[in-house]
Amino acid sequence: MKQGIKFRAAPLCASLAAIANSSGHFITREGRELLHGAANRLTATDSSPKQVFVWSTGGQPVKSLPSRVYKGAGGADELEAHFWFRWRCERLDDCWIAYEGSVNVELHTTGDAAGRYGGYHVDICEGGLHVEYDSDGVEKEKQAEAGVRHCFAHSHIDKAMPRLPSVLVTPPDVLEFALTELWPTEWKRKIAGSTGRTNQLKPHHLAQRRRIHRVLSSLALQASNPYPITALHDRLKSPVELA
Amino acid sequence: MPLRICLIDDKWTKAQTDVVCPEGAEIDVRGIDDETPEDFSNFDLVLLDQNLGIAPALKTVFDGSGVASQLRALARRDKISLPPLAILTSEPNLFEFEVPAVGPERPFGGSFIGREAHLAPTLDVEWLLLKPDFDDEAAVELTRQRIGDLAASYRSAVALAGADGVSMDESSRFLGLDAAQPWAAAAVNSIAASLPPISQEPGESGSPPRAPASLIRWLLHRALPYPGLFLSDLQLSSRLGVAVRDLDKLAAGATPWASALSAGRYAGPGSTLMARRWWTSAVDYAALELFEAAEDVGPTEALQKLAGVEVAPLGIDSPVVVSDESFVEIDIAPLEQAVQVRPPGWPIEAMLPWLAVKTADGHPWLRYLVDPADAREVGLA
Repeated sequence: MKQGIKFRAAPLCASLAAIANSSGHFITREGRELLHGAANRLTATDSSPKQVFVWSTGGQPVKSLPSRVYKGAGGADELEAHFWFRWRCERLDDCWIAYEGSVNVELHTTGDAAGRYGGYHVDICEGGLHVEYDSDGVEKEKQAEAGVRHCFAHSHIDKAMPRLPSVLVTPPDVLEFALTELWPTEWKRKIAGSTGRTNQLKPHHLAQRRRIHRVLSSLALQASNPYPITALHDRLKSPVELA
Repeated sequence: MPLRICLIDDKWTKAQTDVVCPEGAEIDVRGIDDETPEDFSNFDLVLLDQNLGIAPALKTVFDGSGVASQLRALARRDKISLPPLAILTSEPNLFEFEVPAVGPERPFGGSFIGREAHLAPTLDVEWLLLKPDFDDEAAVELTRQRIGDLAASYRSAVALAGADGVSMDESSRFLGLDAAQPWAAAAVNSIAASLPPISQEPGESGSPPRAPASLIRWLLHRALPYPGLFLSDLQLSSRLGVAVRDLDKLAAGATPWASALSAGRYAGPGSTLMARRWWTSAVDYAALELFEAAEDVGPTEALQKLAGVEVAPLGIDSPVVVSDESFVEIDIAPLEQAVQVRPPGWPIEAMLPWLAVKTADGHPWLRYLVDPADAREVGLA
C-alpha cells in the first residue's frame, strides 16, 4: 500500500476556496479563479468513480499581488509570489492518499528591478528511499538518485539541499504561509476581521490547526527513534492522517 | 387523472384557454365577478390575468398579483396548500416600475421575458407567462408546453412529497436525477448545497401550507435561474472552452465522455420555462476529464479525443460569462475585461455573476456591487 498524506477532499477544498474568497487584496483575480478551479476539480473528482488522479493548479501559477511590506514598514522592492502545486493521489475508502507531489512558491521582484528573487517548494512522498513514479502512478526503475532518503514532507529552498522537514504540507497551508510572509500585518488583520467572507476562514483555520498538529505528531513519532535525525528520513509506516 | 387548471381572467373565454392548455386538461375559467372555486387546492395550477380592471363595489384596482395575495390569505385562513400561481398576461412590460427581487433598488424596466425569476418573488407568484398571439402557432405551442410543465411539475411534487413535507431524497427524485451517471453522486451533494426546501418530519401528517409548491418555487426562483445546481449554455461553453454553437455537436458524439455530457442536459420539471440548463455536476465531470486529458496533448486535441468530433476552441483566455445590467447572462468575455459583483438578493448558494468592466463602470449602482479590492484592480472609481 502506498504511504503518504491521507486527506479528505472536503476540508482541503473548503480551505482553498476560503482563501480564494478572502484574498481580494492579496491574490490577483485570475489567481483566485485558478484556486476555485482547483478546489472544484477536487470536489468533482471526490464524487466521481476515479481511483487515481493528479490534483494541480493546472498550467498557470496563481499569482499574488505585489507587496512592499514583507520586510516591515514598506519601501522594499515589490515582490510577488507565484504559487502552484501538483499532488498524485490515490483513493482509499472515503479519503485520498497523496503519495507524491510538490507545492511551489516562486518569488519575483516586479517593476524596473523585475527578476527572480528566490523560491521554495514543499515535497511530499512516502518517506525513505526516493521513489519515482510514471504518469500512471507505477513505480519506475530505480535511478542513481534512488539512494537518497527523504522525510515524508520536506522543503527545498532553490536547490536540492537542504531538504528540511516541513510542518506545512498542504497547498492551502503553504499558500497561506506565502501570504503571511508577503503581508505580515495585513494578512493577519484580514483573517482576524469579521465579514461574511472571513467567516469562511474560521473552519479553514480550525482544520489547519488539526493538520499541523498531526504532521507535528508524525514527525515527533519518527524522531522518538533512537536515531532521531536519520529516522525522520524513514519511510512512513502508516499514512499521516490529516482528516 | 387529467391536469386541473384554473384561470382567473376578465376577458378570456374557455375556448381561448383551451388552446393554450395541455390537451385533456380540465379547465375552469372564472371572471372577477364569479364565485371563487370552493377549494383552490384541488387545482394543479392557477393562472391569473394581470389586468383585471376595477371592481366597482370596492372602487379599487384588482390585478393578478392582487388576486394572488387574496388567494394566499384564503390559504392561510383555510389552512390549505395552494398550487403554483402564475400570472398570464399579454403585456410583457406591465411591471416595468416594480422593484425586482434581485439587483439594486431600481425599477425593473422593460419586459419580464427572460427575467421572470427576478420578478415572480416580488409578486408572490411562482412564475409569469406571456399570452401568445393566437396566430403564432409556435408561440401558442410554447405557452401550452409551459403551462403543462407548471401543472405537471406540481402534480409530481404532490405525489412525491405526500402529506409529510419534502425530504432530500424526494428533492432528488423530483428533479429526475439519473443515478447511473458517473456524476450522479456529485449531483446529490450539489442538490443538498442548493438549499432545497426540506421540511419533512417523518410521521407528521398534514403538510405545511406550501410544501409541494415550495419545491416548485425553489426550483423556479433559485435552482434553475442562477448558476449553481444547473448551468446555462454560456456557462457550459465557458467551462469547456468551446462556442455555444458547438455544444450540440459535442454532446452528440459517440464517446463515453460525450454521452455523460449529453445525459447532463436537464429535462426535468421547469425545463421548458427558461433556456436550456445542464447539471453542474455533469459539466464539472466533463471539464475535469478535459483538464486531465489536456495536460498531455493540449485542450483542442484533448476535446477532439474525448468527444470524437472536431470543434474549434473558444479562443478566449480565462473565459467568464458576463451578464447585462439586469444580471441576465449575455456573453463570454476574458476575465481581465470582467469583474465579479454581488447583487442584493442573489441566492447565496449560486455563483456570483460577472459584468463587463465597462458595464459595471457605466452606473454608480453597479459600481458599488463590486468588491473594493477588485474595483481597485480593474481601475473602477
